[in-house]
Amino acid sequence: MVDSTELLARFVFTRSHINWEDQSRPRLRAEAFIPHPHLELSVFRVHGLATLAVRQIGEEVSRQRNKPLVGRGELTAGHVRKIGLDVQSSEPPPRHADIVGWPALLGSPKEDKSRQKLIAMQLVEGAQLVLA
Amino acid sequence: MKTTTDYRSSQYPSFSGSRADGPDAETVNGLFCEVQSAFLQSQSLGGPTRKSMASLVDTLLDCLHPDWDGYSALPVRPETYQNARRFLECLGGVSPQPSISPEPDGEISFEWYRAPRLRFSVSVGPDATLSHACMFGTSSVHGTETFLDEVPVGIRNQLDRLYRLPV
Repeated sequence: MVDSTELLARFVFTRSHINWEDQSRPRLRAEAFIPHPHLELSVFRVHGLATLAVRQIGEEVSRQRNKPLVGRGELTAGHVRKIGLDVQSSEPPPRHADIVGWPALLGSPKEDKSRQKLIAMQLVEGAQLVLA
Repeated sequence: MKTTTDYRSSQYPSFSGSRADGPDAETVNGLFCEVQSAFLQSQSLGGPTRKSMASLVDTLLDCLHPDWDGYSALPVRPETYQNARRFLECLGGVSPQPSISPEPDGEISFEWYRAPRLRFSVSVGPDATLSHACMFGTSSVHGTETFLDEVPVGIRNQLDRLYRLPV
Protein backbone atom coordinates (compact mmCIF):
# COMPACT_ATOMS: atom_id res chain seq x y z
CA MET A 1 0.00 0.00 0.00
CA VAL A 2 1.40 3.37 -1.01
CA ASP A 3 0.43 6.06 1.49
CA SER A 4 -1.06 9.26 0.09
CA THR A 5 1.63 11.34 1.81
CA GLU A 6 4.41 9.51 -0.04
CA LEU A 7 6.54 11.41 -2.51
CA LEU A 8 6.94 9.90 -5.99
CA ALA A 9 9.51 10.69 -8.66
CA ARG A 10 9.07 10.41 -12.41
CA PHE A 11 12.55 10.48 -13.91
CA VAL A 12 13.04 12.44 -17.12
CA PHE A 13 15.61 11.35 -19.71
CA THR A 14 14.99 13.87 -22.47
CA ARG A 15 15.35 17.65 -22.49
CA SER A 16 12.32 17.74 -24.77
CA HIS A 17 10.02 17.10 -21.80
CA ILE A 18 11.10 20.27 -20.07
CA ASN A 19 10.10 23.72 -21.25
CA TRP A 20 13.27 25.85 -21.26
CA GLU A 21 11.75 29.08 -22.63
CA ASP A 22 12.29 30.81 -19.30
CA GLN A 23 15.82 29.65 -18.51
CA SER A 24 15.55 30.85 -14.93
CA ARG A 25 12.39 28.81 -14.34
CA PRO A 26 12.30 25.68 -16.52
CA ARG A 27 8.98 23.91 -16.40
CA LEU A 28 8.09 20.23 -16.65
CA ARG A 29 5.84 19.42 -19.59
CA ALA A 30 2.72 17.27 -19.35
CA GLU A 31 4.16 14.97 -22.03
CA ALA A 32 6.49 13.55 -19.37
CA PHE A 33 3.42 12.01 -17.71
CA ILE A 34 1.79 10.36 -20.73
CA PRO A 35 2.00 6.60 -20.10
CA HIS A 36 2.53 5.42 -23.70
CA PRO A 37 3.06 2.59 -24.66
CA HIS A 38 1.58 1.13 -21.46
CA LEU A 39 -1.38 1.99 -19.30
CA GLU A 40 0.88 2.37 -16.28
CA LEU A 41 3.25 5.24 -15.59
CA SER A 42 6.57 4.23 -14.09
CA VAL A 43 7.61 6.14 -10.94
CA PHE A 44 9.79 5.60 -7.87
CA ARG A 45 8.78 5.99 -4.23
CA VAL A 46 11.32 8.40 -2.81
CA HIS A 47 9.67 9.52 0.40
CA GLY A 48 12.15 10.09 3.19
CA LEU A 49 15.20 9.76 0.96
CA ALA A 50 17.90 12.43 0.86
CA THR A 51 18.29 14.30 -2.44
CA LEU A 52 21.51 12.44 -3.18
CA ALA A 53 19.84 9.05 -2.70
CA VAL A 54 17.00 10.01 -5.06
CA ARG A 55 19.52 11.13 -7.62
CA GLN A 56 21.38 7.83 -7.29
CA ILE A 57 18.18 5.94 -8.13
CA GLY A 58 17.71 8.16 -11.18
CA GLU A 59 21.28 7.62 -12.30
CA GLU A 60 20.93 3.88 -11.96
CA VAL A 61 17.79 3.90 -14.12
CA SER A 62 19.57 6.23 -16.53
CA ARG A 63 22.47 3.79 -16.82
CA GLN A 64 20.12 0.84 -17.45
CA ARG A 65 18.23 2.74 -20.14
CA ASN A 66 21.36 4.27 -21.62
CA LYS A 67 19.85 7.75 -21.53
CA PRO A 68 21.14 10.85 -19.76
CA LEU A 69 19.29 11.82 -16.59
CA VAL A 70 17.83 15.29 -17.11
CA GLY A 71 15.72 15.64 -14.00
CA ARG A 72 12.60 14.39 -12.27
CA GLY A 73 9.09 15.42 -11.51
CA GLU A 74 8.13 14.97 -7.87
CA LEU A 75 4.53 14.64 -6.78
CA THR A 76 2.61 13.00 -3.94
CA ALA A 77 0.53 9.86 -4.15
CA GLY A 78 -2.30 11.97 -2.71
CA HIS A 79 -2.23 14.25 -5.76
CA VAL A 80 -2.37 11.21 -8.03
CA ARG A 81 -5.42 9.86 -6.18
CA LYS A 82 -7.11 13.26 -6.13
CA ILE A 83 -7.42 13.14 -9.90
CA GLY A 84 -8.81 9.61 -9.94
CA LEU A 85 -5.69 7.49 -10.50
CA ASP A 86 -3.91 5.22 -8.05
CA VAL A 87 -0.36 4.20 -7.15
CA GLN A 88 0.66 0.55 -6.80
CA SER A 89 3.98 -0.83 -5.70
CA SER A 90 5.64 -2.69 -8.58
CA GLU A 91 8.97 -4.13 -7.46
CA PRO A 92 11.57 -5.03 -8.63
CA PRO A 93 13.46 -2.78 -8.91
CA PRO A 94 13.31 -1.61 -5.30
CA ARG A 95 10.99 1.36 -4.67
CA HIS A 96 9.45 1.09 -8.13
CA ALA A 97 5.72 1.80 -8.47
CA ASP A 98 3.18 2.37 -11.20
CA ILE A 99 0.56 5.09 -11.53
CA VAL A 100 -2.46 3.06 -12.62
CA GLY A 101 -6.14 3.58 -13.30
CA TRP A 102 -5.74 5.38 -16.61
CA PRO A 103 -8.92 5.28 -18.66
CA ALA A 104 -9.20 2.04 -20.60
CA LEU A 105 -8.63 2.35 -24.30
CA LEU A 106 -12.24 1.89 -25.28
CA GLY A 107 -13.10 4.79 -27.53
CA SER A 108 -11.39 5.96 -30.69
CA PRO A 109 -7.62 6.13 -30.23
CA LYS A 110 -7.63 9.92 -30.62
CA GLU A 111 -10.41 10.39 -28.09
CA ASP A 112 -8.51 8.22 -25.62
CA LYS A 113 -5.41 10.27 -26.34
CA SER A 114 -7.16 13.51 -25.49
CA ARG A 115 -8.29 12.04 -22.15
CA GLN A 116 -4.72 10.98 -21.39
CA LYS A 117 -3.47 14.44 -22.27
CA LEU A 118 -5.86 16.04 -19.81
CA ILE A 119 -4.86 13.64 -17.03
CA ALA A 120 -1.18 14.27 -17.77
CA MET A 121 -1.86 18.01 -17.46
CA GLN A 122 -3.53 17.46 -14.09
CA LEU A 123 -0.59 15.35 -12.92
CA VAL A 124 2.04 17.87 -13.95
CA GLU A 125 0.09 20.67 -12.29
CA GLY A 126 0.91 19.09 -8.92
CA ALA A 127 4.47 18.09 -9.81
CA GLN A 128 7.66 19.90 -8.99
CA LEU A 129 10.61 19.80 -11.37
CA VAL A 130 14.00 18.93 -9.90
CA LEU A 131 16.86 19.16 -12.39
CA ALA A 132 19.64 16.59 -12.29
CA MET B 1 -8.73 27.87 -62.38
CA LYS B 2 -9.25 24.18 -61.81
CA THR B 3 -8.92 22.36 -58.56
CA THR B 4 -6.45 19.67 -57.68
CA THR B 5 -5.69 17.55 -54.65
CA ASP B 6 -2.17 18.98 -54.41
CA TYR B 7 -1.80 21.22 -51.41
CA ARG B 8 0.13 24.47 -51.57
CA SER B 9 0.84 25.55 -48.04
CA SER B 10 0.84 29.11 -46.77
CA GLN B 11 2.97 30.68 -44.07
CA TYR B 12 1.05 33.91 -44.02
CA PRO B 13 -1.08 34.51 -40.94
CA SER B 14 -4.82 34.01 -41.35
CA PHE B 15 -4.46 32.54 -44.84
CA SER B 16 -4.84 28.83 -45.35
CA GLY B 17 -3.22 26.88 -48.17
CA SER B 18 -4.62 26.45 -51.65
CA ARG B 19 -5.49 23.54 -53.91
CA ALA B 20 -5.93 25.72 -57.01
CA ASP B 21 -4.02 24.92 -60.21
CA GLY B 22 -3.40 26.57 -63.62
CA PRO B 23 -1.63 29.72 -64.93
CA ASP B 24 -3.67 32.14 -62.83
CA ALA B 25 -3.04 30.10 -59.72
CA GLU B 26 0.69 30.07 -60.52
CA THR B 27 0.74 33.87 -60.78
CA VAL B 28 -1.20 34.32 -57.57
CA ASN B 29 0.98 31.79 -55.82
CA GLY B 30 4.14 33.59 -56.95
CA LEU B 31 2.89 36.89 -55.55
CA PHE B 32 1.79 35.14 -52.40
CA CYS B 33 5.22 33.61 -51.92
CA GLU B 34 6.77 37.08 -52.09
CA VAL B 35 4.43 38.27 -49.36
CA GLN B 36 5.17 35.19 -47.28
CA SER B 37 8.87 35.70 -47.67
CA ALA B 38 8.63 39.37 -46.65
CA PHE B 39 6.51 38.37 -43.68
CA LEU B 40 8.98 35.77 -42.48
CA GLN B 41 11.95 38.13 -42.91
CA SER B 42 10.27 40.78 -40.79
CA GLN B 43 11.67 40.68 -37.27
CA SER B 44 8.47 41.78 -35.54
CA LEU B 45 6.02 39.71 -37.60
CA GLY B 46 8.04 36.77 -38.83
CA GLY B 47 10.44 36.36 -35.91
CA PRO B 48 8.13 34.31 -33.67
CA THR B 49 7.04 32.10 -36.57
CA ARG B 50 10.65 31.48 -37.59
CA LYS B 51 11.48 30.55 -34.02
CA SER B 52 8.58 28.08 -33.88
CA MET B 53 9.59 26.53 -37.20
CA ALA B 54 13.13 26.07 -35.88
CA SER B 55 11.76 24.49 -32.72
CA LEU B 56 9.69 22.09 -34.82
CA VAL B 57 12.76 21.02 -36.79
CA ASP B 58 14.66 20.49 -33.52
CA THR B 59 11.82 18.32 -32.25
CA LEU B 60 11.95 16.17 -35.37
CA LEU B 61 15.73 15.77 -35.21
CA ASP B 62 15.68 14.95 -31.49
CA CYS B 63 13.05 12.24 -31.91
CA LEU B 64 13.86 10.48 -35.17
CA HIS B 65 14.76 7.25 -33.39
CA PRO B 66 12.65 4.96 -31.17
CA ASP B 67 12.99 5.23 -27.39
CA TRP B 68 14.11 8.86 -27.48
CA ASP B 69 12.58 9.36 -24.01
CA GLY B 70 13.99 6.23 -22.34
CA TYR B 71 10.44 4.85 -21.93
CA SER B 72 10.02 3.20 -25.38
CA ALA B 73 8.65 6.28 -27.15
CA LEU B 74 7.85 6.03 -30.85
CA PRO B 75 9.84 8.17 -33.29
CA VAL B 76 8.32 11.27 -34.86
CA ARG B 77 7.43 10.32 -38.43
CA PRO B 78 7.98 12.64 -41.41
CA GLU B 79 4.19 12.71 -42.03
CA THR B 80 3.68 13.94 -38.47
CA TYR B 81 6.31 16.65 -38.99
CA GLN B 82 4.62 17.75 -42.24
CA ASN B 83 1.21 17.96 -40.56
CA ALA B 84 2.68 19.82 -37.61
CA ARG B 85 4.39 22.28 -39.93
CA ARG B 86 1.15 22.82 -41.82
CA PHE B 87 -0.69 23.37 -38.53
CA LEU B 88 1.90 25.95 -37.52
CA GLU B 89 1.62 27.65 -40.89
CA CYS B 90 -2.13 27.85 -40.56
CA LEU B 91 -1.78 29.36 -37.10
CA GLY B 92 0.47 32.05 -38.56
CA GLY B 93 1.24 35.01 -36.36
CA VAL B 94 -2.36 35.55 -35.29
CA SER B 95 -2.27 33.77 -31.95
CA PRO B 96 0.59 33.67 -29.43
CA GLN B 97 3.19 31.16 -30.53
CA PRO B 98 2.87 27.77 -28.80
CA SER B 99 5.71 25.80 -27.29
CA ILE B 100 6.43 22.60 -29.21
CA SER B 101 7.19 19.21 -27.73
CA PRO B 102 7.30 15.56 -28.85
CA GLU B 103 4.93 13.05 -27.30
CA PRO B 104 5.75 9.42 -26.43
CA ASP B 105 3.42 8.10 -29.16
CA GLY B 106 5.36 10.02 -31.82
CA GLU B 107 2.90 12.90 -32.14
CA ILE B 108 3.87 16.55 -31.72
CA SER B 109 2.27 18.73 -29.09
CA PHE B 110 1.59 22.47 -29.34
CA GLU B 111 1.01 24.06 -25.95
CA TRP B 112 -0.22 27.49 -24.97
CA TYR B 113 0.54 28.07 -21.31
CA ARG B 114 -0.49 30.99 -19.12
CA ALA B 115 -0.56 29.45 -15.62
CA PRO B 116 -0.61 25.94 -14.08
CA ARG B 117 -4.39 25.77 -14.50
CA LEU B 118 -4.62 27.86 -17.66
CA ARG B 119 -3.18 25.83 -20.48
CA PHE B 120 -4.23 24.36 -23.80
CA SER B 121 -2.50 21.58 -25.71
CA VAL B 122 -3.10 20.20 -29.21
CA SER B 123 -1.52 16.99 -30.54
CA VAL B 124 -0.77 16.59 -34.23
CA GLY B 125 -0.09 13.15 -35.64
CA PRO B 126 0.37 11.52 -39.04
CA ASP B 127 -3.35 11.74 -39.88
CA ALA B 128 -5.93 14.53 -39.98
CA THR B 129 -7.28 14.14 -36.44
CA LEU B 130 -6.11 16.48 -33.70
CA SER B 131 -6.41 15.55 -30.01
CA HIS B 132 -6.66 18.43 -27.60
CA ALA B 133 -7.04 19.08 -23.90
CA CYS B 134 -7.39 22.29 -21.94
CA MET B 135 -7.57 23.46 -18.38
CA PHE B 136 -9.44 26.70 -17.76
CA GLY B 137 -9.23 27.25 -14.02
CA THR B 138 -11.64 24.82 -12.41
CA SER B 139 -13.06 23.52 -15.69
CA SER B 140 -11.41 21.29 -18.25
CA VAL B 141 -12.20 20.07 -21.74
CA HIS B 142 -10.79 17.40 -24.02
CA GLY B 143 -11.71 16.11 -27.45
CA THR B 144 -10.76 15.77 -31.09
CA GLU B 145 -11.01 17.93 -34.21
CA THR B 146 -10.41 17.28 -37.89
CA PHE B 147 -7.58 19.29 -39.43
CA LEU B 148 -7.66 19.86 -43.18
CA ASP B 149 -6.49 23.21 -44.56
CA GLU B 150 -7.41 25.47 -41.66
CA VAL B 151 -7.09 25.49 -37.90
CA PRO B 152 -10.45 24.05 -36.78
CA VAL B 153 -12.92 26.55 -35.33
CA GLY B 154 -13.10 24.48 -32.14
CA ILE B 155 -9.35 24.95 -31.59
CA ARG B 156 -9.52 28.69 -32.28
CA ASN B 157 -12.43 29.04 -29.85
CA GLN B 158 -10.48 27.32 -27.07
CA LEU B 159 -7.49 29.57 -27.75
CA ASP B 160 -9.68 32.67 -27.60
CA ARG B 161 -11.13 31.45 -24.33
CA LEU B 162 -7.66 30.78 -22.87
CA TYR B 163 -6.48 34.32 -23.57
CA ARG B 164 -9.68 36.00 -22.40
CA LEU B 165 -9.44 34.56 -18.90
CA PRO B 166 -7.58 36.51 -16.20
CA VAL B 167 -4.46 34.86 -14.82
